[in-house]
Amino acid sequence: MARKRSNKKKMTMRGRIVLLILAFAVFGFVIVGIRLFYLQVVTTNFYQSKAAENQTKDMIITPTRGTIYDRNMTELAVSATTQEISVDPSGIRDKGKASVKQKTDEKGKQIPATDEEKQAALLAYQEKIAEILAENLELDYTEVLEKIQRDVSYVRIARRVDADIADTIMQQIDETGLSGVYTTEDSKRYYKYGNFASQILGFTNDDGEGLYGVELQYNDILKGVAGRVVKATNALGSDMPYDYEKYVEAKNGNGIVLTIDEGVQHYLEKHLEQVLQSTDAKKGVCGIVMNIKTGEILGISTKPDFDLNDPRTIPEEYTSLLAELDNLSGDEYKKKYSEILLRLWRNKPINDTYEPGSTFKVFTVSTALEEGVVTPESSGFSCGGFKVVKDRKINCWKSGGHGSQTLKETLANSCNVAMMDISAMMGADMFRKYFNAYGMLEKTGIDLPGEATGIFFDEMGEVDLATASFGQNFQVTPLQELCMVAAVCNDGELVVPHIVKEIVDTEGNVQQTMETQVKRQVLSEETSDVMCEFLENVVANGTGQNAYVAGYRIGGKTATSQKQPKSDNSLRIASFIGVAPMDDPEYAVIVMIDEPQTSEKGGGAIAAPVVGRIFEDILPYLGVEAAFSEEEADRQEITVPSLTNKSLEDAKAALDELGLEYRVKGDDDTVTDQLPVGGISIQPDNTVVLYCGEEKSTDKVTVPDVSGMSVEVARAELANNGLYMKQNGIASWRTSGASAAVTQSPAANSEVARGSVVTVAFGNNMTSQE
Amino acid sequence: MSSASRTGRNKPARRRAVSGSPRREKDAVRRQKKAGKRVEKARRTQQRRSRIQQYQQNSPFFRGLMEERQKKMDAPLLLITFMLLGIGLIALMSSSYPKAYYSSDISPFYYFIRQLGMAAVGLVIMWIASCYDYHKYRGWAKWLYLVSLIMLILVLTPLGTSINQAQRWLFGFQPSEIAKLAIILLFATVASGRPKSVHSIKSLLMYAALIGVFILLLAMEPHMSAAMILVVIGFMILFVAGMRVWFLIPVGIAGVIIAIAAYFTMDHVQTRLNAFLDPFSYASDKGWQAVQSLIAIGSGGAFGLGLGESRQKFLYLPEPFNDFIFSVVCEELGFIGAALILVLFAYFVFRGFYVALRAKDRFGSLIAVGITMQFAFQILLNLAVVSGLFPVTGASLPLFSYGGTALVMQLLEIGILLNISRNIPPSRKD
Repeated sequence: MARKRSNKKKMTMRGRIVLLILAFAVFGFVIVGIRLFYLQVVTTNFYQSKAAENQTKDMIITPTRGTIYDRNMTELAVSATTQEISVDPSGIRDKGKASVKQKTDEKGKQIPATDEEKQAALLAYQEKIAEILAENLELDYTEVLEKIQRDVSYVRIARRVDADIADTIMQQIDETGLSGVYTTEDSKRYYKYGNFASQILGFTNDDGEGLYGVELQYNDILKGVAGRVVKATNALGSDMPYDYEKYVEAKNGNGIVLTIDEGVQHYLEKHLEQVLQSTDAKKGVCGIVMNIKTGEILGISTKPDFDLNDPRTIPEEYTSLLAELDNLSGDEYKKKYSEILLRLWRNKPINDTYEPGSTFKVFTVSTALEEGVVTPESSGFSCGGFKVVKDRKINCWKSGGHGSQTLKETLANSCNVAMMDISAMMGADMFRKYFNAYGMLEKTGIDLPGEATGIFFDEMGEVDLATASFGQNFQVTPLQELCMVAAVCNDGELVVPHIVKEIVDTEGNVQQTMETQVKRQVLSEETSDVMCEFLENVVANGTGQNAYVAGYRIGGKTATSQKQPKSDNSLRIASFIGVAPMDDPEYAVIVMIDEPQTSEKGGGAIAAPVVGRIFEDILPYLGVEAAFSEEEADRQEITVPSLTNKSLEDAKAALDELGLEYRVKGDDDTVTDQLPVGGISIQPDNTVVLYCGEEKSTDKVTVPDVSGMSVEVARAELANNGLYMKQNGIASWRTSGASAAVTQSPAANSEVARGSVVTVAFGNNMTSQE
Repeated sequence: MSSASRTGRNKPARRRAVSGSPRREKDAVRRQKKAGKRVEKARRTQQRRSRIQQYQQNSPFFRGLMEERQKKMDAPLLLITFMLLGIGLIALMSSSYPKAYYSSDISPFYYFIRQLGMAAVGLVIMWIASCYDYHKYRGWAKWLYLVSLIMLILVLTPLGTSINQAQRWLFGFQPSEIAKLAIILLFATVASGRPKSVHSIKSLLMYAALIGVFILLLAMEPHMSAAMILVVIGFMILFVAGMRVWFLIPVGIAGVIIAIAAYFTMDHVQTRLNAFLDPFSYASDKGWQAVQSLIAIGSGGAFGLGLGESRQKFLYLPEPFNDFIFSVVCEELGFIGAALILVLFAYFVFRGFYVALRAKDRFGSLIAVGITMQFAFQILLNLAVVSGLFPVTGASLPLFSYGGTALVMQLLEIGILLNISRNIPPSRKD
């Protein structure tokens, strides 16, 4: 019995141990095994990606934005590497509290710091950092301190900090045993010339994305591709001892080579700035210089403009714009300020449309010629000052009328009545067809953002056709208008204007070249030739004579368009489109003056001279040789040789040969001095003074004001002051007593050396609207 | 040795050929003296040996050891112990490398070498324990209990060392390790000496009180995982001894009620449980350890990253060569390697219980159950924690985790287990 019991007991014990074996040696491990199988085989992908995320540090490498060059590889916009300075306020909080001085009691055991002591230590810590940052970054100390005390773990203190300043800051932070300030790479865009081609180049936002102009249009090419560094790191963020690093190199942005020529752009801007000042154009002035054969834009500008390095500030020199802000405050001020800025940023010749006015007569005449409605020899266009279309009386600009004219003369006179007659002969359908053909209803395709297109009649009535014939009551962009005239002069080929010539990599190797794109042939070469002759005649004999440049054959067309609303009859846009050289047209220039405040608002009076001055500067610059006709001999400058120490006889002979007049002062046989000094170029109408023993006065002279004087009076006035005049402006054969000096350089009242040359431009006072 | 003796023989021979007789005589004298010294040395060694033998014959301790040595022990248990210890040391070498690498003043193998030394000491102690008749522990048990009680109190005094806000160390040693052995031996002694004690509620309360004191002291350290292990060991010994299972029902219910109450009243219990249920939502703080361990295990995949190639051990895993050493093993060896180690552990546990099953007597059986249970529970608790089956508690992996004294204690316990296996009646030996 007892044995049995003991046996039974033994059995229970064995049974219980077996139970434990099943539970702990089998069941427990099977559960763990299944769990491991689930983790390591079933869901391993999830954990592997988590591990990669966990163990790698991913850093973005910002690429350097590409450079923008002008056509001669002058750098216009470049990016430089700078630093961003940020702080970690919560990290600073921990460090600051930990910086509390440890105190020990008499037994050497540490006494824990009180909260007040910790707070005081923290404040001191924050203040030290704020001091260093504010001092080096020239920021407001209290503002910086406020940022450091925020309850976040990242606050940006400053961007675009030069590397050496950032280095100084980090060094000072290190030296004083502080921490919590970080630098990351950043980049800054520099525009070499500030307000130069401002609207064209455009600018970028803080993140380096282009906002306007070429910076926006070619943002993808300029910005490059960000690189990455993926590094295996331990939990503290430092590198692991074994190799695991993936480096995806940043691809720096490619460079953009513009078709803009720095020199041409400079001349264009100089003259636009001048005309903006002299006419006080309320809505600004703009201009384009274009190569009509290739469609390359050599210069394009709108004034007033802004400084690209500080695009959110209205430049101080625009006092009239700043005056608009007077008496405004708060939100109104801000609203107005940004409104003016938006106006400054606008690329007027591309983004805005206008009623082209008389330059559009080129369209009417060329279309009529091409379609055979008129012939080059057509004549008998009579103008009585107005034409009645339906029941409307539409005036010509010359109230007395132009009388009977040939086709050539209608353009030179810019006769509205003749245009109405011609358009009536061709009809609305043909008109619309060519309007389309000249690309007025589509974008020109220039590679700049925000291009506008023409606004034309849906249904064209008789009156619409009549007014459209001289460029009123519909709208196009100045660029479209220029392209139309360019096509007329370019053997009838309409080309796509473009602003980018090449895309180059960082080493300057050409990646892509923009080819000339011909949109279509609008006119025949014959019609084009006739039109060129007609346009040259406008400048030679017509309303465009102020655009004359001696030595060059210039063609062009004036325009003075009325602005909407027509009720305000004083609002005008004066414009001129010039083409040169007319023997083989290559360059076209448009200048548009929006709402001039001068008494003369005509394109012939105020816009044509500007185009003339621009051509005068850019044609020699672009290597177009001047060819003076006999009539222009007086304009050809002769370089005075150095005659000092030569015998009087030799000097006289030399001057005779050059065809220069001279005067002798003194009795010696040798020339002791001369005026002007050798090397100076003067026009043949000036007299050289040879000093033979007599002392030449070396004092400076004051330039007299010659504005408004006729050619002869001005020359005499300057000669009296010991100065030479270089005559400029309208052709000599067009000068009369009524021709007046318009501009002079150097300006009146400036001090110059005796014998200096003063350039004076003359214009015929065009009392017309044209 | 052999080459030295050869030259010793050759030299005089050459001299004989060259030099004259006076020298030969001198040499002869010297040789004689040398020979005399050699004899003397051998005699002394002989003496020493016989003295030791004499001592051994007279010392009951050594006589006992020699006697026990003659009995065959459980070879598979010894073999599996060696295997696990070997693999554990390799895992420790790999997992402790990064921390040592980043500490500038110690060699990358610092922890490995220390553990290796302790393993050597532990193996000697295991050998001695395996030759020490376990029946003698009957007399020791209550004294060991007393000693560990004193140590558990001492550890709470300033003599103890506090690491991570837990005061668990007394002169680099955890008294809780001794406490476990003390409980095993004491319970086994009492439960085998008075078998009926496990049936009366009164004496069960006495058992509970014995453990309760320890738990109270451990809770003050605090060291709850050790307390938990004590409870499990004690309970399992009583269970095997024949305690009725229904005794546990009220205890179990009480436990569940306390757990639920704790969940709703104590915030940190709640957050800890939430962190356990969804570690990735708490990855930055409470769930950090669990997440890092899961990433280590999971990213190992089926075949692992290769021995030594763990990445999580680079300061991501909180204690890569201690509590989370198995995560590193899983990452490096993959599921295949980890499963193999699981099999080894399972076999080890099985072997321990198998010894208990065949033990000579009830006392031996209960000690074997207690020791095996301690291993089984600690191993499974650690594996459950690292694989996310159980909330994170500080539980190390026996034979793997870093910690010299713990390893020595474990090997000592295995030694006791081996001795029990030596004493298995021949009829039950396989």
